[in-house]
Amino acid sequence: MKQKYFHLVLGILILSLFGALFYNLSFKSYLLNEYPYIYQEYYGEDNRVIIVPIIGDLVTSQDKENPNSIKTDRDLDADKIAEFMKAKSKDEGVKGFILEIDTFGGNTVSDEIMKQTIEDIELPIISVVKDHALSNGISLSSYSDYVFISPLSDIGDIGIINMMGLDNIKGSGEVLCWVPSSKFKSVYLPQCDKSLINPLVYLNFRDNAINDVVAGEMEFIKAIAEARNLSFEEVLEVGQGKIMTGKEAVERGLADKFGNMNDALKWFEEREGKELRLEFTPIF
Amino acid sequence: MKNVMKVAILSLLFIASLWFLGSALFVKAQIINSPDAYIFDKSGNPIVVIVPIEGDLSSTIFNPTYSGKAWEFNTEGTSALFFERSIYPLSKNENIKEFLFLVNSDSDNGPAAEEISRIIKQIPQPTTVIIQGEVGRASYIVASGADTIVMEKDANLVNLGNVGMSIHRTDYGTKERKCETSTKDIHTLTESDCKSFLDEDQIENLREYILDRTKIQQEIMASNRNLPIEKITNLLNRSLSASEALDRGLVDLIGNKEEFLELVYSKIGNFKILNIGDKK
Repeated sequence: MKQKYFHLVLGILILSLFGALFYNLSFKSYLLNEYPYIYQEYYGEDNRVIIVPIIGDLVTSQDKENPNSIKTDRDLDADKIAEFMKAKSKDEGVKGFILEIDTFGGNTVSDEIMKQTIEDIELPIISVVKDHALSNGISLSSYSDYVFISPLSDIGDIGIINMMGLDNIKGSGEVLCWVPSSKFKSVYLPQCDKSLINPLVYLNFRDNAINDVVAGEMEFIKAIAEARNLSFEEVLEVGQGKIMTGKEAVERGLADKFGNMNDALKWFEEREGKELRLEFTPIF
Repeated sequence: MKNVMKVAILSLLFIASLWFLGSALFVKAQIINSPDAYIFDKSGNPIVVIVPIEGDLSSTIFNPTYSGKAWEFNTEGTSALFFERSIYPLSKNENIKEFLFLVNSDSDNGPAAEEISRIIKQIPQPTTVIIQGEVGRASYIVASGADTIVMEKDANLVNLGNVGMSIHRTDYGTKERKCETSTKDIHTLTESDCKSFLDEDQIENLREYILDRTKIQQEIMASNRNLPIEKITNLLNRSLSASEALDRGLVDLIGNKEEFLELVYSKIGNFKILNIGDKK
């Protein structure tokens, strides 16, 4: 390359670099001075509270990958949520998490994953219950440090459903049968066609499943009672798959206060004694 | 200096320039494509934000591609999440002097309505709702969160506080069975189709579910409007015209958007409108 062209291009590029740098810094400075909340949204690394949307039903990574498991378009991967929260909790700019709950529930393994994650993370984790916190939703909110809820939210549906595919004796494949832990859990559950199943196999499945789901529901109630510092009997009263309003949940000590995301942010700001910002994250 | 070195230096300078410029432009493009686009308006005029609240109300619209703060929450109907992410943050801007919400929804989603109403109450600027069309059931909860409720003279308030419920079930070998009921039909619940697949306890539980939520909705409306609850409880089967709603204290004025904007002009002079509906 000829020396004079090199110097010319070099000069132009140095000027361009200064121009671009000046534009970049003045743009950031404009946002920081005039609209600090917008600056924080795009450039801020400190003083963040992470919103974790639990908008959908919790399953495990294994369930998601298993071609035989029943799937819905609302499935959320609890393993990925746990991984994400643990990684974020190591970030010094993160002051805590808000679980934004709108869920019909999920399976018991995903509930264990979320419970363990909440226990393992030392930062405060609070919940904002939106439309629904059913089944796993109420356990998730109970494990958190504080619960904001709408007086009209649906919360509860404590109980377990056992599902099994039984051999179809009149054809190929399996017949799906469900056994809920209580009658209020079964309102939406279809009855399986017993004429397609060996009656002895069905009775055996049902008897074993009933024992399992009833024991499961008792464990469920115990876990919520412990997490919310309530007696077993107090939670048992709203067991059996019953659904409460948010108002009743606050009256019974299963949620703390009526409020929304703005109230949750204030909760953190009062605790930290400074202004914080919410960081929105995608659904998993 | 070797040619390779020269090219490397020039390339580095070029990439660095592109990076500084590109990263700022990328953020600017994101802001321009959001409700915060107004920040690049240098006129300094006061701003009035107009937000339509229409279609089905929802708490969270499930969207697997949800990016965290985007517009997709408001593509069909109106969600509380959209209000939380996109509307409330606007209230931090001092140039925004008024919020106007145009409510035209017959939704019966009480939780979503309560969430939206709560966010409207948290906005520090003056808030006004204009009720348009046939607004009923839960949607009046949204309106009751505003400082001022204006009702168009042809609008109606219908079945305030009514809670609807629908349960569908298909057992193997049978057709789908439906149990559809609401507060105003609650007295027919035991004679309804619900009996075909729900037992007495389940029906009683359903009745309690609906009545509990109806009562809470009525309490929220009465409390937001500082009215005795009796003024709300007898409106379940009623359709109210604007003048009836005004007489009962359910709204503050009869008018429309143009009259509201004239009123704002008389208070603050020239202003710009940020119409959130245009972004949908």
